[in-house]
Amino acid sequence: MIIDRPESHFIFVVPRSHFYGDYNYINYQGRQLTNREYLDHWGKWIIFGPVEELAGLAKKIDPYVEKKMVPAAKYDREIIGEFKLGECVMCVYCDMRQREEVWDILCALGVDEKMWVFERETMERWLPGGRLLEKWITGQGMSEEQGERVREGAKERFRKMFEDPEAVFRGVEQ
Amino acid sequence: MMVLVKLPSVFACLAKDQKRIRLDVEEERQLGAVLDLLARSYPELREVAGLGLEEIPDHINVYHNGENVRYLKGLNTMLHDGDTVQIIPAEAAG
Repeated sequence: MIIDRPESHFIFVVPRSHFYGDYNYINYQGRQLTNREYLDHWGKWIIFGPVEELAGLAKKIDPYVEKKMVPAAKYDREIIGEFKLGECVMCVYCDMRQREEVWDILCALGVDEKMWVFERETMERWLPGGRLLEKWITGQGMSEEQGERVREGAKERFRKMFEDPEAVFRGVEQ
Repeated sequence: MMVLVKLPSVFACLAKDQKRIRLDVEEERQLGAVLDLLARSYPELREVAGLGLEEIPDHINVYHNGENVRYLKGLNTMLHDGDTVQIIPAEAAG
């Protein structure tokens, strides 16, 4: 199902059972991932395009997400000005051990830009000193003090999230 | 051999608005040599995307047939006829 909440920058495609039930799409072959496994294996295919194209692709991906052949996807509601990409981005999530199967589906839907990103790469960039976090702080026009608070908050959130490597990964609030 | 370079809008505008560039190189080459060739042809791309350096800068990701070359052999990754290279800003992976 497509989750389009105006207060969120992202529009999500997740299984109905994930949204309403207790299913967690972050799994591999039906088994939920630990924090360690999440950092080792979880990632995404990324796709660039205008938002209208990504919205069309999201509708095509949705049935595969409901069948759990594609775990989940999300895309930008609008271009993120701070990052100066000039395009929106869609992330199609899966475990790297199933990424070729997911890629085959995307390929059949007309995607031809093949780029894989591990989630750990993204997380590193949102930590203090990471390119994404620093650029976001600058783009928001924050004072040094505000920026420092944001950095501390990010550091603490990541520390708490991954403090037990063997605990089941609980997701990232977005 | 022929190598296809794909660029997102943010970089295509520095390469005469080309999102796909076919590079004809004489023989199988390492990625670094092909990026040098690209940088010579499009100097603005060299400056902004940091091509032609000894290492891939942190602010870009370079993919060889879909795989981030940081997990391959970086600039020493060997390219073959028909391969695809994609260069994207690291921000895109957020």
